[in-house]
Amino acid sequence: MRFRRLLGSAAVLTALSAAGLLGSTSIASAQSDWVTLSVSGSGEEEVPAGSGEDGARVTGSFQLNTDGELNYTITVTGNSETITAGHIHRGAKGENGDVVVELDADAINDGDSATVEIAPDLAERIINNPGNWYLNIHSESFEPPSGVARGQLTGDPDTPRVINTGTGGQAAQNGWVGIAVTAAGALVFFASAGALIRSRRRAGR
Amino acid sequence: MVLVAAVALTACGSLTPAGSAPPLPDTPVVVESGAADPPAPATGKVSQVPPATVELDGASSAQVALADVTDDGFLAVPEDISKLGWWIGSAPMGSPRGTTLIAGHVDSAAAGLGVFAKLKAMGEGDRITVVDGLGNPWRFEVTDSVQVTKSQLPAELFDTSGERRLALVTCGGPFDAELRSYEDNLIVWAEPV
Repeated sequence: MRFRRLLGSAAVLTALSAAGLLGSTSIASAQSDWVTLSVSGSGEEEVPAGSGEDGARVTGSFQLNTDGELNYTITVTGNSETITAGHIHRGAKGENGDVVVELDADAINDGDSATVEIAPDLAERIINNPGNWYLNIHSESFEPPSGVARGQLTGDPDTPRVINTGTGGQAAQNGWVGIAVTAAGALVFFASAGALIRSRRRAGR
Repeated sequence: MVLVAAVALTACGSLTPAGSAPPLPDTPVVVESGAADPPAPATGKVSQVPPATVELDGASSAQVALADVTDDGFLAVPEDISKLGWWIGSAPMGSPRGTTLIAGHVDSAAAGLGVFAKLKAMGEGDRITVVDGLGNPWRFEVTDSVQVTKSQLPAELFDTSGERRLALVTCGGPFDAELRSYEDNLIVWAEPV
């Protein structure tokens, strides 16, 4: 099992301070409720249009609370290069904005979960209005402000209408084999019983 | 539900009880895979994070990837039949409520039977272990197994605020060879232990 934890990034704190986003840094003694946000994005969502990688997709899951704890799991597919950076930015769909959280590129490349501490005030803003923040993933050819793939955070991802998990039919064939054997066995039984009855009748004449 | 949570929080031993997990360290640290387990800090916080592997009773574990939804409404389960997909809208591990939905292929035309072909044989009382992305094991016990028409997926599958449950989903029922698709879904429900 692989996991990564990166706490107290000086770069993040500096950026947050410059952006005026740092609030109280005290950690509440009681645990705040966790909130799950997710991302389902693509190269098509990069700004400006056409600057992302064709066919690339990014899927992300974020668990955070107003104590500033943030767990994240991100997978990227369709990318042609190793991911060199990942960030959470401030910005609505169609807009580019500043980096507010730096993510672990190695964890993203491996699809591993990772953890980072962020300012509680920032966490609260993201939780209260996830659509105003986006995940952006970068590689050598797709550097900021553009990227490989991007997606807005949301607390209400699409619900699946269909769960399609079987195209081979082998599992059904296994089941049908069992039924066929049972049916064949029944036919043999009744055929035998019929022959026995006819034999007894002849004997009884 | 409250009783299950209370029992889970007071459980001890080498197993991580349901509803709790080793808390995060207080000091900054970067921990790589294969390194020592994370140090146990003073606070007893329960962290939430997606599942990373699933182990069915007596079988080897399978990796779990994030699964979003395609434009036509299909859950994007990994094509690799040895891997499973966790719907990103469902409850993560460590959540005190809601359903964690994990789906996997029963089979594929190219690769044969998948990891979740074993679901058909599971019954009440069978054990399932889910390890989350932070390395914590969560144990469940099967309570029910139901087969539903694909167009009639129960609302409980997508619930994130009600009873704490695990739902393992695959395909089942008759197979349409022309469409290369099963008519039904098989759902194995489990509760935390």
